[in-house]
Amino acid sequence: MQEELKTHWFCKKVSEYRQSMFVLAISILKNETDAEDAIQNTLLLAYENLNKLRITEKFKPWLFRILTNECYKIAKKRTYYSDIDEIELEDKNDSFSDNKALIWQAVNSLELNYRTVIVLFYYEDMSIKEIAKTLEISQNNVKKRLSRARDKLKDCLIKEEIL
Amino acid sequence: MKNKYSAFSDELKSTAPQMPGDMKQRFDSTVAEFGIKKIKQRSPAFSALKFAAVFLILAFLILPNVSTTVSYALQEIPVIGKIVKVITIREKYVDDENYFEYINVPTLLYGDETADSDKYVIDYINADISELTAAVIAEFEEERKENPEVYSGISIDYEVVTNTDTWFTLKLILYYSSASSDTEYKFYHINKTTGKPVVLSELFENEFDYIDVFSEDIKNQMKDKVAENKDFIYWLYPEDDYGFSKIDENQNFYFTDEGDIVLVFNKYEIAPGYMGTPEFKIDSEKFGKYVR
Repeated sequence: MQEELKTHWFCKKVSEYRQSMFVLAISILKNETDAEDAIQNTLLLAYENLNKLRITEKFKPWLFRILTNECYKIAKKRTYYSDIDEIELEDKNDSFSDNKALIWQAVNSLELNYRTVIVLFYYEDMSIKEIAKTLEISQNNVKKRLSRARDKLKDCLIKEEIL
Repeated sequence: MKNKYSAFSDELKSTAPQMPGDMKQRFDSTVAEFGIKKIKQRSPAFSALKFAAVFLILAFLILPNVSTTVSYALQEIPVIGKIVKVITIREKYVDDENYFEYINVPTLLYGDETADSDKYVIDYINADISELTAAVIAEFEEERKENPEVYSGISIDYEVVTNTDTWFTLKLILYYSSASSDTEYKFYHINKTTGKPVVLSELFENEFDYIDVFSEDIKNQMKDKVAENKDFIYWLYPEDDYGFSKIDENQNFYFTDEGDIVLVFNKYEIAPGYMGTPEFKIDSEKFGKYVR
């Protein structure tokens, strides 16, 4: 019965993050098909590895770490670049590129690493510490990326009178 | 730093791309599959209850935010041999957005053939179950009153591990979850041949030092497991001040169908939480001839 409760808990948590997973995946991969593949892979991996989640570890950064890694795996397959920093993904024609919101177009135009931290920090409201856990980088690195991402966005945001 | 950008953050959230409807359906259906897969793996001992259980689990998955409370439904487990019947006397299923309760408290019933002299055994076990579960539930409800905003849950359930002509074993499963989770088992055994409840310390002839023999066996098994799997950790004395050195004289146990003994530890008893509730099997040839 215990296993069923754990499964039930897992299903409930993961469903809460459905929209979040989508936004993160599509920000990284820029198209729905790939985003869905990454999400489906993540669901299976997370469920299979649920026992590895430490009691003191938070579920969200753990889940998002799996998702981010799955996204990067797919992104690498789609390009010739082995270095994740150099990956530039093209927009495909779907609801994502149809998103008229200029603010998302601005985010979309950022480099992969910057897009990711912007989404995690400003859309997901994750802390620097949680983002560091998710991306498996240092907190300083997270802050550096955020700061550079903000610089790049600044012009656009000023124009949009958001800043 | 974030305050300056809070308008940016709000704007991002309100204009974010939304998961399309068909993708949502595929997501939900993958998630639902997890619940159904688990049901198919349940042990055959529960075949009589499978249908009811499936219905319950599916109900949870389909209506995750609905509070359901069911009182006093009776589920009888068919038994063979010298009759010990087990039914659920207190049943409560609540799945609320702030907490969950999944409570199945068992009680043993006298069978038609239970001798009067054996009835005290059943009364004794029922009293223990009743006291233990009442205490656990009371503690949980107290916790909830003090911290209503923290998501927590409690589950009390049981398994009839053995119910043969000669032996009966009931496993009581207590699970509590808040920021972290805790699992405890309690085993109740009845030797139907003698009609007596059984605890580990009364199983063996006096000259057999079962505590020592079993403890050494367990330590060897731990060493093997740690060597095989680098994620495994057990707390061992003296490296750990409070680590495992010997089993308790009435350590939780149950018999397998082959007659081996399995010693069971509660969560956190000898290892960190992620190790769950460790179990160690001791071969019957190590103790068989010493059983009373």
